[in-house]
Amino acid sequence: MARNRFGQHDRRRTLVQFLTAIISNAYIVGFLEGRIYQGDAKAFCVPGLNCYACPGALGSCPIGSLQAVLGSRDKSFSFYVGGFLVAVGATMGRFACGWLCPFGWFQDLLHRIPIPKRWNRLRRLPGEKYLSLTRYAVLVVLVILLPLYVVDIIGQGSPWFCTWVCPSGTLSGLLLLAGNPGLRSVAGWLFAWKNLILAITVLSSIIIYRPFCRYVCPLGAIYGLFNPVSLYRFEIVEKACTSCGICQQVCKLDIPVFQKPNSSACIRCGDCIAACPHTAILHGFKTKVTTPDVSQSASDYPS
Amino acid sequence: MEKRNRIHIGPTRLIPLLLVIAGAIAIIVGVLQGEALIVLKKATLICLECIGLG
Repeated sequence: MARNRFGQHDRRRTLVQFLTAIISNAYIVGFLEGRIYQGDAKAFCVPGLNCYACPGALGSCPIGSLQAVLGSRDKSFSFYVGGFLVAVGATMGRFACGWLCPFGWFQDLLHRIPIPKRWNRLRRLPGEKYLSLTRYAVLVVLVILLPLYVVDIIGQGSPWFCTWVCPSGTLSGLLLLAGNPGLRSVAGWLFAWKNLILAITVLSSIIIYRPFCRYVCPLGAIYGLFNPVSLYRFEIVEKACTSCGICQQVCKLDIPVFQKPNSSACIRCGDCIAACPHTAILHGFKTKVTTPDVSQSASDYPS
Repeated sequence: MEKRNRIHIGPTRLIPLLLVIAGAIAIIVGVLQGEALIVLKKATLICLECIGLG
């Protein structure tokens, strides 16, 4: 029964991710003609990492938008994008990563690719604790400080993260260049560099779950800061939890959910909730738990 | 089955609620300061940096 519940949960999340990706990138003409949407909807940010250079994109990537505002001549802070990030983060934390981010879904799909049986997928890398801090360094240095302070002769900064790192932009570029021979002709060494980063992201996503989200993504870093305080949160029912560790076993990010239900690394995928044999992990927008439901039997979880 | 797991009781937490409100106010301030226009201008031109063309 729990196996069935786990499958249902997985299908539901995949469906939400699919629909989000489709709705965010519904400008079909862009894919066919190698151009981008230029309507007013581009003034609005989407919650996930969805490059505005993608031919289908109807909205704007919050990280690209943040760099655009910080890099402009007369701005040193972005109320607009900052407010958006705070509002989304305080509402749902990294739920946006687990359910609403097209690039996160892309990595999820890659992780489903079968690998030879003698290979093992990695649950974490050596030094995971420190590696996971790199996303904060990326956020502070590449997204905030360099666009703000390294400026050209007229006082404009560059989007350093987009230029040098973001594989979502590169993926968008590949889709754009596929339908645009003019742009293809000017691709040079920077394009090759970014494709190398994309290739590393793609290959590593097959072996380890969501490497970009774990170690690099500045958007996930921001949302993660809100996980412990967001309106939508997880909570452990102390009386029901036996600390069996099944939540950590099923968590592809290897988070000990029974100890840290609101870890900043958690993308709120909800696998732990579906797998918990004691129904000891609650989720929702309110927190004070007074009536634990412990009706599930311990043998009722996926192996 | 899933609905049973949802938390239906207890008070809404104050801090995140205040953060959401602060975020919404900041968005309005940003729009009034012309930041939405900056985003729109950037996003409606092909971002060459984003796609790796410089």
